Amino acid sequence: MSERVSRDRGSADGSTGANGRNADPLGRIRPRGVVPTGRWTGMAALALLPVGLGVLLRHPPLLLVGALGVAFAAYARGDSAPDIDVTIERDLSDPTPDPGEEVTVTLRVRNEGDGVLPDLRLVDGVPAALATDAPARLGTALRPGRTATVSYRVTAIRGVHEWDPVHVLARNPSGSRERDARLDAGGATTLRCTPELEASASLPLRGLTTVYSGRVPTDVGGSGIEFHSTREYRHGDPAKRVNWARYARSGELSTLEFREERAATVVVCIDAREEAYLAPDAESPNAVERSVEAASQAVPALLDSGDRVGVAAFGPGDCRLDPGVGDDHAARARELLATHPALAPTPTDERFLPTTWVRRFRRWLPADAQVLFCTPLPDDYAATVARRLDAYGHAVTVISPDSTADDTPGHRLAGIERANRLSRLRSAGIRVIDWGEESLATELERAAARWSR
Amino acid sequence: MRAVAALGVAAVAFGFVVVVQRGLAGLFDLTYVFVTGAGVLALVQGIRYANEARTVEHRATETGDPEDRYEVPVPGDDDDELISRGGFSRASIKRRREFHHHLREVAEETLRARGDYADGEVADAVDDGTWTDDPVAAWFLGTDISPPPRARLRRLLGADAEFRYGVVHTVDALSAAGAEGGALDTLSGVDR
Repeated sequence: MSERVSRDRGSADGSTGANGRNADPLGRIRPRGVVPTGRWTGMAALALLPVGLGVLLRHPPLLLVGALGVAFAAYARGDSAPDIDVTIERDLSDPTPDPGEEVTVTLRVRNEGDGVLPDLRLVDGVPAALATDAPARLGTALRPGRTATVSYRVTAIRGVHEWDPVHVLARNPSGSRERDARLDAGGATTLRCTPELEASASLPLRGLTTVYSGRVPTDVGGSGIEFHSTREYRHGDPAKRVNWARYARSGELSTLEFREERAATVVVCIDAREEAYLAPDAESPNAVERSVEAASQAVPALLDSGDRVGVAAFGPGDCRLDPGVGDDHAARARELLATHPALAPTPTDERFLPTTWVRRFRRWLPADAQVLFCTPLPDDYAATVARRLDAYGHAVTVISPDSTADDTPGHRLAGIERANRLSRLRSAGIRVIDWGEESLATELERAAARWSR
Repeated sequence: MRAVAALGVAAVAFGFVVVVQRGLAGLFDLTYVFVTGAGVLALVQGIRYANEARTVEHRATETGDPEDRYEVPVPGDDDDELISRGGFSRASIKRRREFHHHLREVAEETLRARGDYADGEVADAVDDGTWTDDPVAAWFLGTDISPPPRARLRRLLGADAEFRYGVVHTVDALSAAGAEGGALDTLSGVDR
């Protein structure tokens, strides 16, 4: 599929100001998208100065030099910006790769016009979340009907990544004027990377449970594994739960009670506010990406153990999945975690009102739901949300990916502030997993050992 | 401007006509003064254009760097920007004062989290500088503590140099205090 674009479709004008109005007063009298570079400004001086000096000094050769200057000035002034009449096609080697896979992007440009494009430059609109291994740009001269190609590779990461229009610049041979446009490319423009949900080590949940049987030990006696108490025998109690040892000693019938194990409802909430987009360095995944990774491990682990699981994003955009169980639910959770714009690897510009969100979230949250809050704790408000939800009776566990660095005083201070927030949450009785560089499974095992003491 | 342009166009048109009708050139007396005047005019205009070329801004459309991945900030970038900034503007002095106040709050919370001070004792410990072995950090957050000689030397270099020096020492002292607190937390099983 290809798309033909004429010069009139150039959408962006280099002279347009941020407020949408034309910042360049000359914009009113020159064609849209044409930028005078100013490279030949002053060529008239090259004509007039020798002429003036030649006349004053009575030196005819200088007059001839002046004629040369006139030729240059006429060349620069008379040369108009070329029309951008090109077809652009983009091709992805695999539009639905797995995370970490390399995808080759090929961009082809064909000159559909009648004239030569002496200086054509293309810059591809690579999605912000992707990095390339080579320049995603091309500079070439293109004769009519000819095609030029540029290829580069990107490493796929989770999410739906849309390519922006291609930035096209065409200059005339003298370079005095350039035409600037952003043109849509035909072919593939979206890369969709949906990771599989991989269960981590089982999550240590808190005591809040549903009426369904599951794996969370409760304080209620009944059927289970761990001994709870004994009570007087009632007609109909199963024979295997009768305390035969006591019967042999005293002749009294009694029934053993075990700690009942029930399922929990867990809502995995990801802090996806703009404030949560933090990373210790340019190469590391940001905190929202790590939070989504934690959720991608937690959701299948919880579903496997029979718990009802929901997902929500604490950020702009209405990202919620009601608690549920089953394979279909797991597929919905996978799709949401991989592709919902609220959980994108880059922040959105959408406005967000955190207090309104908390109010709505509480209304949506089932009364017996626990909350697994994935947040880097970038500010006091995240800690306040955790404490508030816990105070409302939703047992909260915080998984906090550490995105702090310690190379400068400011970075170290941010690390201290985060440590203080973690400490404050722990003092309030909230379970916190401080997720550093080790795998989440290791951190979970360590936390489970600590909490079981 | 329009009159000058019209005059110029008329002069050029007349010049072309003269190429065909040589006799018209006789209408003007090509004296030394006339030719010199034309030369001076050309020279002045040439200088004007040359000057314009010197001051004109060469423009080229910016294409950005789409090859680079979107970069998110590192926690604490804002603080680093403030710490490294020089100058004596009223805004920067106000921001430094606010930052100093914030740093003191963080110090009190860190000491409170460490758990070896009672609630009422934390502020006193920061006031009299007994919370740290670092004299610079003790002076920077304390009250009525005379600055150590090295801090006085920095003051000679400017208020911003003194501020930066104090902040760096205080943050290092807080890191050390926090690390001790973390060890205590683990030992006492505070981490639930």
